[in-house]
Amino acid sequence: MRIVRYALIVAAALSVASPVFAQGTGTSSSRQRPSTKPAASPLPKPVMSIRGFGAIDFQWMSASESFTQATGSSLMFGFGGGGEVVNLWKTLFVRGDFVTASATGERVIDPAQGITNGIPVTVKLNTIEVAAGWRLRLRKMPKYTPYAGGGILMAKYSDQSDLEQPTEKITESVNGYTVFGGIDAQVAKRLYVQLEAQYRMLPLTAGETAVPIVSGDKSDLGGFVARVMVSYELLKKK
Amino acid sequence: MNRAYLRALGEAKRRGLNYLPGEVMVKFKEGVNAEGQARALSALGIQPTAETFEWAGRVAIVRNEVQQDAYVLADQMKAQPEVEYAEPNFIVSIDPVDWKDSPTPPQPARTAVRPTRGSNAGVTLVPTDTDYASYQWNFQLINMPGAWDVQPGGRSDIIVAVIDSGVTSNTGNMVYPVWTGSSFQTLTMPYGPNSDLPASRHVLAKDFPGALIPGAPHVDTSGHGTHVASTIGEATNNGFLVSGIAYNVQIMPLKVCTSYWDIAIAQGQTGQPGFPTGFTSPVSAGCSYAYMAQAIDYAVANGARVMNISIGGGAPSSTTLQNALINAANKGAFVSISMGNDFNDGNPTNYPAFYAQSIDGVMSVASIGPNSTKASYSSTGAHCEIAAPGGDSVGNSARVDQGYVWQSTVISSDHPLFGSSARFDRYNRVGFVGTSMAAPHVAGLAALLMSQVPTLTGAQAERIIRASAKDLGAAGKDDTFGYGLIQPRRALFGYGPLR
Repeated sequence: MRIVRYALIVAAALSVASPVFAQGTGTSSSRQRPSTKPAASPLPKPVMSIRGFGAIDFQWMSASESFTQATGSSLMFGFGGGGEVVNLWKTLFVRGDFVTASATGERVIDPAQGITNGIPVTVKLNTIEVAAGWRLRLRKMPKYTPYAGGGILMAKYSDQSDLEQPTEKITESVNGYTVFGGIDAQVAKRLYVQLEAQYRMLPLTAGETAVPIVSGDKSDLGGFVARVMVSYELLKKK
Repeated sequence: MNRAYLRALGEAKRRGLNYLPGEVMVKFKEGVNAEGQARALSALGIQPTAETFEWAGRVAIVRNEVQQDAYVLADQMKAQPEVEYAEPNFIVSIDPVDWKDSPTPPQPARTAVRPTRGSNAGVTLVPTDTDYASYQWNFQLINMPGAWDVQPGGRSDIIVAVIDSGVTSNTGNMVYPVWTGSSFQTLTMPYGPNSDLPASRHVLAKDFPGALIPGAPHVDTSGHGTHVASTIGEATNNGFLVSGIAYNVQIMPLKVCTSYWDIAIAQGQTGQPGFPTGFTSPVSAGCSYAYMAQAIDYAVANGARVMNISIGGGAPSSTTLQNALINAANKGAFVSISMGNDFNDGNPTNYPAFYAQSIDGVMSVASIGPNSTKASYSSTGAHCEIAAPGGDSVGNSARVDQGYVWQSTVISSDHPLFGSSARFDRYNRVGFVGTSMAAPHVAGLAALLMSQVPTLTGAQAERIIRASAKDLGAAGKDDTFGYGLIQPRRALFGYGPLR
């Protein structure tokens, strides 16, 4: 890009200067130098393909205090997979995936001071994502493709402990949104690795759903997610 | 034996006073030695003797036969330069709203089977105690089986102090002259421990007014203290009588209250004819602030993590008693105090319950009946913090349990008012009604919480109990139920990241 820019500047400069030279030294046509830089060739047309992928999510929960008290950390580790259609129209892509995240800890009896009671608890967050976005093709680095997009989420939270009575089980289904951006790197003919940053919003509705145990904590099951995806190109349009 | 105290209590009962006549609590300033103390007393013409000067923990009880008006005596002591403060030695009482003996004799006790914790969701412990299902509506109302599933009975290294009329630990006979109506007769009054709250679980028992029998800890001549202690820790799942909340903990019986029969024996010892007056039932007893404060300090100093004080009345505030409670809370103890039974008698502010609102780790407990409604007698006020089952016999006569809280204690009819005989060695299921019965539910829950989390302080236990309570009445904290009805299961089981 830089070389092109310089070429343009030089070309512009030459186009301004050449009449001056032409007036002083002869006809302008005999003094013009031809451009030495060939015109940039256009990028090949994007080709639609279908990929399957596996994903590993590192989610830092928005309700960080509540999750930290129960599980020792606001980080939940998840894994899953899905499929995407790349270059569906121009460089548009769509995808769908399912990820299950979990963490273990101890039940909390005093959220104000984070006092736990020694009873193990397992927390699960299962998320379905349907998303779309746009890929940006890099002429100089055709194997690397940044992208950005957004989508909808459908999540189900549950926690479980031994000795639990049926009325004590917390299960919440929550819908929300996600926005993300990342970079897709082709590492082999059909193999790709994507590194992606997401921000998820899965609001809990006061009075209708369970709420975080720490008063004032964000009433949301979303958060910041760092995702690693490994994709395999299953089909490619010829 | 503390005859001076017994004489003063009998006089207060007879005259309807809320203080012990001629008796004050004196806090000397730091650094005042025995000489300075004697000087202060001599300024009032008092010679320090065993009868006139008695240390009760952080204060001295000063008695003056000449100046019987304790308010005047307190002002006289306060005027002495050696004195930090002086106040009357107020008295409050234990007095169930209603009581009822069981008509059937108890079946023999069986060996207790330690309940096993359920390992599956929904499996809960239901005691095998014969009268649990029919009579202990209170434990079923607050889902004690669910709580026991999490914490079955508490730990045996947790000590709960019962500051009350005592719990009998030994076996023997009291042989004393007692006025029986026309003359003194020497009565043989057997006493013995409750087999369903065995003496092996009693620790460091103490009789603060003074043991009636040299060498013996004390005798519960009321039944109130044993009933309260039984709610906290009666043996459970042994197919006998009823259950207790924290049935593994140790009980520290601290006698600070003196009953009709204590006074009757004292009067017999001194040759004072006539029946003791001012008592409304064989369970009634009077309790002085000085001994209550001393018992609180004693309990803290000897390792009690939880205390129950089912004592109260409309007597004024006391610096001594308040300081004892503050000290207990600062040392990490939890104290449960009954709100009072005076809603229908002008609803006066009861002490020491009033102090609870300003001390983290001390809770005042109101009473509900079998339908989770306010007990008709339960006092109300902004200082009410929590509610628990205390029973209500009004409107519940059709129920099998008739609305009482049933626990094992000395049979009330075995020691009647104005009786010519008394015994304190037979126990059965007895029904009581009052905020006195509600408070030990909270004490028992605190003991379970401290068993579940051994490092828990009283202030933390209070916060957990409040946060887990089921809101009753007006939304949020209210004057009738405080933060609501205790929920032991919820308090013990806790939450994941969401609730």
